[in-house]
Amino acid sequence: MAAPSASWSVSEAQSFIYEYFLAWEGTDEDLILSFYTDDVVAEISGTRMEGKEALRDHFVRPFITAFPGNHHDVKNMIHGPNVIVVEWSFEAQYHGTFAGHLPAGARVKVSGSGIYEYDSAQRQITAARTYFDMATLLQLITGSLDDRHNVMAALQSTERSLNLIINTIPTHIYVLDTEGYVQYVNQAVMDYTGLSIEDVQQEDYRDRVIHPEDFKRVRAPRAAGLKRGVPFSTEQRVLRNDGQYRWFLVRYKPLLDEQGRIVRWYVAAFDIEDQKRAEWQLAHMARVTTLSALTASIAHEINQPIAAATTSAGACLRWLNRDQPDVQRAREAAMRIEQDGKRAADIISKLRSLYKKDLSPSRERLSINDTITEMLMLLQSEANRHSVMMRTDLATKIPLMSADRVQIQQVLMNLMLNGMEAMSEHGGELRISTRIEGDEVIVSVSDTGVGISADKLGEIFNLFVTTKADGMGMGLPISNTIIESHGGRLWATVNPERGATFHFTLPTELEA
Amino acid sequence: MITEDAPIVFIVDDDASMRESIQDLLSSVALDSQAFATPQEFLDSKGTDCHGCMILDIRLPGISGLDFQRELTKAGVTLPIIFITGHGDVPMSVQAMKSGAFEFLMKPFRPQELLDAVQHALDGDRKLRQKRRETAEVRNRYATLTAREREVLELVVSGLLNKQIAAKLGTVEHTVKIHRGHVMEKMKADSLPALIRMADTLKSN
Repeated sequence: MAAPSASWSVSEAQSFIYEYFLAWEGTDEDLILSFYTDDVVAEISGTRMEGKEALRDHFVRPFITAFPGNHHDVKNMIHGPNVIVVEWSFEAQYHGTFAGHLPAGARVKVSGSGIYEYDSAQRQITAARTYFDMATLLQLITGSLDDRHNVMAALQSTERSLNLIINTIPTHIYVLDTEGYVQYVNQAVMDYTGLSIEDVQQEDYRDRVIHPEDFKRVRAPRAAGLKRGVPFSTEQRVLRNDGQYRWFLVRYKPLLDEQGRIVRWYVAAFDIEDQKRAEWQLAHMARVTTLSALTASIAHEINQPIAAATTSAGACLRWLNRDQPDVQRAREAAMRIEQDGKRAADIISKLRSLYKKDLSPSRERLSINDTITEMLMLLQSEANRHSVMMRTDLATKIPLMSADRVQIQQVLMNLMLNGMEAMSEHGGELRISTRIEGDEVIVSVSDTGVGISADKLGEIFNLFVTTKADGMGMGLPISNTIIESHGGRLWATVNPERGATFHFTLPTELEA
Repeated sequence: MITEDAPIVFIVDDDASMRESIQDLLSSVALDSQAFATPQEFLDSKGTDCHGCMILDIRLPGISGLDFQRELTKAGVTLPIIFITGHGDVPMSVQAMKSGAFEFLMKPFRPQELLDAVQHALDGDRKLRQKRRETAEVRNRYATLTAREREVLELVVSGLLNKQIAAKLGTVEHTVKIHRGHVMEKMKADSLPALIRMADTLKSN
């Protein structure tokens, strides 16, 4: 297995951790050294660990040797920026003299969890902590109940370690009952909100700490998510003890019993205020810079000849309105108007050739499925904001197409954002699918939102038609132009159940 | 009263067509004008501070319209300035008005808007010059007063009776009356209120 090195994405970091668990025998020594559980180790092996070498020799190696040929299972529990919390378990036959209490040949199931912090810039795991589940630990370290004292001590120190970790990490952690009421919060939550555990367990806790607008907005999606019993996330502003609101990404994960019923919810909330601000500023800057700078330049360019022409027109009229009209001066003024009009027309034809160039695409060989997958990653936080789950249904054998990647991304972004906005009141599902029909690929973006009335299906592609209060009505017409310039078609249909679907086609023949 | 010379409108704009059309517009209502492509050309061309006003584009290559306005004030040119601009930023217009611009118009403006602004500016300039002349005149007259006459003037406009003035200056009422007569004559004041107004003018300048 490769050591952490060059550029990793989040999914690569996750794969690494999975592999790590699954290949204990062949693991790189250095990586093992990053594994530690101080107090637990001391209690189990009866020695104080000094340094990582001691840890490796007295605990980790014997532990691994004691369970050769084991079968691992790792489930991702929650992840947030630079942190992954995993649940792991393995079953094995006990071989060695690790803890001295288990009979040889005993089948053991060990499980626990681990918290991994990684530095995404450096692409390395910077800290790894692993914990044994208390019940299995008990099984592990005692074959008989005579050693109760040692067992209790070990349990207590495990608990202490767990508590220490849960309460020192900066992530806000909540445990909720099946109705969504708070049973437990970690220290980070109490420090941040300035509330005690009793306050937190009050029924109106969430009313107090969540921003009223967000409370309203996430109410329906949260209730729906809690009922559905699958992981979901929301974004909301939470009140800090100094009276300031900050944005948080809140991830919900259910704990299910063997019958699949929800036992409780584990919730982790990550402070994304700084990221949000940066994102918003960037988007705002991009929007504002491009559009207003462009229109300001255009406006100014055209302004000059128009202002000159208007002034000359004023002069012309006054020459003619005199008691003795001065026709010669009036004529000269009129000629100037003609010239200024021509100047304005020249500017417009210059602009026309500019945007024609921009529109003419730079084609490359594009995998539409990959492009869609990229968009999913880019829009994940937007989806969270609208409480939308994104699903894909991508055909496998789609040939590469000749298309302008940036333009196709623009179209996908437009359709996906529209779909999300249509669902922002109650959340919902955004499904993106691809399939081949004849010599075309059909891409469909479907939502479960408010839908479009049948008579408006054609109108929405016209310029400046919008249902949004702050919309400009340019997204769909522009998308239409882009798809048509690729030789495809863009159209919308109403879903039989709820919501709408936008489809577009792209020809599959590669241009020579 | 001295009448002004015929006013001249000075135009500073880098767009040739703009200069021509404004000049023609002004001609059509019988106003004289001179046009310059850059502020420097204007500064180089004249020294005299004649009656008129200026139409100035706020954004010119080289020096900004606002900086030019400052330059003019420093050089003692008090022509009222009408700013015109193709850019239309609100903060700039506020800044222009605060630093003493007479008016601020955005292109394209209605021709009548410009003519109205020019008319108001010329009226304003005429009044300003009138006031300046009068002030200079009063100062000249004051310069001809003797020290004693100045003392008397001060006390007369402060509302004291001749008797009180005499007491204050340590002289007799009769002498005060004579001084007072000379003051009125030299200052060309035909009444006490007129004299008071002249004294105010002297104090505030």
